Amino acid sequence: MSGIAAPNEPLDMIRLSLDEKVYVKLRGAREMVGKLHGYDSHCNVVLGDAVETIYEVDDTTLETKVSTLCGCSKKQTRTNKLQTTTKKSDMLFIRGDSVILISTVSE
Amino acid sequence: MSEKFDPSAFLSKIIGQPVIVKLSSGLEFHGDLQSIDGFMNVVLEDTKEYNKGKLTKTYADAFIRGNNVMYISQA
Amino acid sequence: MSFFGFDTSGPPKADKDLQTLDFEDTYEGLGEHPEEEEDAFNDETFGADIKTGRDFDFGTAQPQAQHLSYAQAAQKPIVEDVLKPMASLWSDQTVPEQQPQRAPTSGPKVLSLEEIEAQLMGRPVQPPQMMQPQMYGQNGYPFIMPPNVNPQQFQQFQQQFGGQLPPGFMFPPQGYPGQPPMFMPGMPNQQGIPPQLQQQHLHQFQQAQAQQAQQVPAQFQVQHGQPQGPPQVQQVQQQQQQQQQQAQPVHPQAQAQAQAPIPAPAPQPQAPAQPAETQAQAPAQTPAPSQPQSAPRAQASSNGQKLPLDEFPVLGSASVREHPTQPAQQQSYQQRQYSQHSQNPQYLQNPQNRGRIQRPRQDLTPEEREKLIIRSNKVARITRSSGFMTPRDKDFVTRFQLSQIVSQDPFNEDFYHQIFKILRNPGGGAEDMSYIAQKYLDQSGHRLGGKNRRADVALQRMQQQISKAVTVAKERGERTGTLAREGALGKVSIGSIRQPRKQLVVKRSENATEDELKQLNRNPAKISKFTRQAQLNIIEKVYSILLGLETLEREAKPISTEELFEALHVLDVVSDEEEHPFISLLGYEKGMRLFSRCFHLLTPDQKNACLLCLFGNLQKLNVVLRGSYKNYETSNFVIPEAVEKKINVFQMTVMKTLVLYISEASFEQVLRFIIELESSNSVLFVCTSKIGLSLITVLISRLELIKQESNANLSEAELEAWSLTYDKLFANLEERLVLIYPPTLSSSKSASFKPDDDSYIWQFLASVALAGKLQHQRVIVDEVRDEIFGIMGKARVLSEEGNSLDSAKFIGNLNLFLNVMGLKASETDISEL
Repeated sequence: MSGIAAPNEPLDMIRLSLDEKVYVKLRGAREMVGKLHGYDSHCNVVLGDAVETIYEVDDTTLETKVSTLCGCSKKQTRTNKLQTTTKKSDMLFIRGDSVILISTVSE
Repeated sequence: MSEKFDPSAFLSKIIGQPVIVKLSSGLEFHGDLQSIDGFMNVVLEDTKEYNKGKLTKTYADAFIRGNNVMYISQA
Repeated sequence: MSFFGFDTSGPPKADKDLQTLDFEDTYEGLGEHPEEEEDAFNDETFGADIKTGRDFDFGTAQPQAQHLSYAQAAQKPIVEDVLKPMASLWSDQTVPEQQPQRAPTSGPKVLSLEEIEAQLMGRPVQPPQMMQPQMYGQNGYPFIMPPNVNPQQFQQFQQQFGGQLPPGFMFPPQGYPGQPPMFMPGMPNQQGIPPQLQQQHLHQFQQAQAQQAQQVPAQFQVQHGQPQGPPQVQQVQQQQQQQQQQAQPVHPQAQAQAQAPIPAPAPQPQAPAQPAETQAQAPAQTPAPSQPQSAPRAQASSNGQKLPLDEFPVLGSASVREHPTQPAQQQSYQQRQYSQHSQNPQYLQNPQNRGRIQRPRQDLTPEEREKLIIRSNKVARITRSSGFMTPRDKDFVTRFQLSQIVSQDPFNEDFYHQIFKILRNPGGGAEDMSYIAQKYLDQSGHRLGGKNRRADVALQRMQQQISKAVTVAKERGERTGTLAREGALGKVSIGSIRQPRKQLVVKRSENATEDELKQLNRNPAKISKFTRQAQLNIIEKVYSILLGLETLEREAKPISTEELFEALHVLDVVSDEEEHPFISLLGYEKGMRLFSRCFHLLTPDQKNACLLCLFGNLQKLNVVLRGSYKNYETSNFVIPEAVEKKINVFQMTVMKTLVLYISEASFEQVLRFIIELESSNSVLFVCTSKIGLSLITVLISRLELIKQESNANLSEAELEAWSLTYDKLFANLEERLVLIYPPTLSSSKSASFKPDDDSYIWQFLASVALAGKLQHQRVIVDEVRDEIFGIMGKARVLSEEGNSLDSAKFIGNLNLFLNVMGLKASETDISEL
């Protein structure tokens, strides 16, 4: 193993992840997983076969009372239901300023 | 002791050691500091992500973009 | 400010009763430091004996006037002249009033060049229409045409006086407050007069004329009434000139009166009796200034009280000062005169008008007069636009000029000079152009809207400093290696909002391996984590070497693969727990592609070493390790999609390369591979993966192929070794042969897999059966009987469903194995070939 230059800069980790599957955590509760095709020092990133996951807190249905025919009332409490939306894209570009974290994805 | 007060010295000293990286969003990452650069970009190994004290995710390697970093502390 | 020769001493302003309008007050302090341009030429222009200063007080009276009665004053035209305001600047009504009085005078006159010429030629001067001096009386008072004069001339008058009213000139507020009552008598009618000269000049003129006419004693009108038309006017002028030359000063008032008698076009019901009387009684006539004042005074005061003659104030005397209004009035006079005279060069030239200068005009030689004329013309030029600028404007200009003087390099801010300098000293082509552009921007002050030159200079300096700082930063960045990476567009960025400047310089250990060791020592449990980075680094390094070699290959240059082979870390020896760098390289898709690209470059020995390494560590190969169904017990042995994908990539790249190589490898070589594989004691595990099984199949097939080749002259030892190896291999698999079937591909356990998915298993069994003896085959068939019948049943079902194609495929794959043993399967039964 001697002679192998260990990556000594954070961006090296991204460079080494080229052509590998990476996980990108973005601002606005979004995530991307895809194959890293390219990047730059701004963390602008190009992903292939990317799957975007958007987390949304659905707090529209907090509490609803449903009266049934039998007269009993049923209390439904759904607080802050987390909704996820996924989008797929063959190839996409992520602007660096929205990137929080980049990680490798182990299969 | 004096070099402890030099941020650069401190940062090079804690490379390879467990650290806590807190982001301005409030997220916390506990892991081993693999590398860091002048932009405060950070790579952590064996990282655990904590949101409001709750473990939310783990990463093998995590590159954290420097602009998000609030502080890096030795765990 | 006093270069007109006004007396600046004046009476003290101690009298509190006097409502003094200090002209300075109206400047709002802006004229505190008046700096007149071209003061240096004052002497040349006005004579060296004039006391000039900036302490001129407009509120002071003429010292000569101090002890003079009006009657006395009337005899001294100088005083009156000085006091006479330029009414046009102050009040619309007064303008025409005073002008007729002053127009033709018998006083000394400075002749214009034309006039002198005309005199010399003995013919009357034809006053050019636009010639200004023609329009003035002897003492420089504006010469006003009577209303009945040539309309053209009147028009000219209008242009001169209406048009020359300085736009920024300030009018005294509230119209001459506290004027002597005697000047106001019986003028209430005047209140109806439109006050604005600008609006109704003609009308006012007429009114004034009427007023004037009323003020003038009848006998004067009779006596001097003859000049009625332009010719007469000219005659009068001619007369005046002659008189002048005779050096016989006549009171201007007489001349003025001569002009005055005009039939009033606009009837003025009430004439100020008092001044008229004064004029009539005093042989030397009423001082001129008193009359122009009548109109504004009338406006200012509604009291029609008439003052007795006794109360007529003595100019400059105590009685005058008793009148609270007098100084103010005088101030106004001076102001007016200042303006007026500034428009009237001849006035300025008149030595008598110069206050202190008592030099008699008669003493002037013709040369001196000519000089004076020249001078007067010059002054006229200079003073033509006098009053156009407000004190504020002047102050602004002054400050600007001062700033220019103060600046070390007066050309520093001179845009044209800068550009000129650049153009005259061309340094070097394109740079110059940008330099000019830079200068242009700097000088024209574009960035600041061209307003603030001072700030512009500061900006210039700042820009220089910034560029310097940037240069330094760039150099430092290059030196210390902290320069930002090249951006997406290939531009080297130093720092910006998007790309923040590096705030920290993290010291790094020079020796990377030391770091590595440190990390290893510190955290032995994290080997694989670390080696992942190392593996990727290997790939990166190999890639860069490969690219260089490929370039050489394209250029048909000799290639040394030593570096490449070394970079592949094939010969590294690692413990069983450790990942082998070369094997791990093949665990990445890019590593797989890399391998197939660089394999052909390697020497045969290197290739052999690669394969030995591979087979020796096959169980560590990612696609074997992760591709074994044994990993996925929790998920029904379903191999994850990502791994499947990787396996496919491996098959497409590494497998292809390997099969190609093995298919040409020697018996000995292949045998060594198998021995190497067996030595790892992981054959069974390897066989649980598709790749592992396939590789073993390839090796066995190659050996059997060589063995069966007619021309294969294999030694007994080789055959013996192979036989032993096979036995070992078979012993590993015996009784566990079913394990090579992943549950997902086991026909007895799963019904979902597709044909050809399991073909690699049947191929393996076929190769094993081929290489084995009869008892081996029996064991195999016995062990996988269930699978065989499973496939047959599957095919039968598919056939019944009408999917005969898939059915046939299943049977075909099965028969790959059965045919080796001389058997043939169908959907229903197994028969011998």
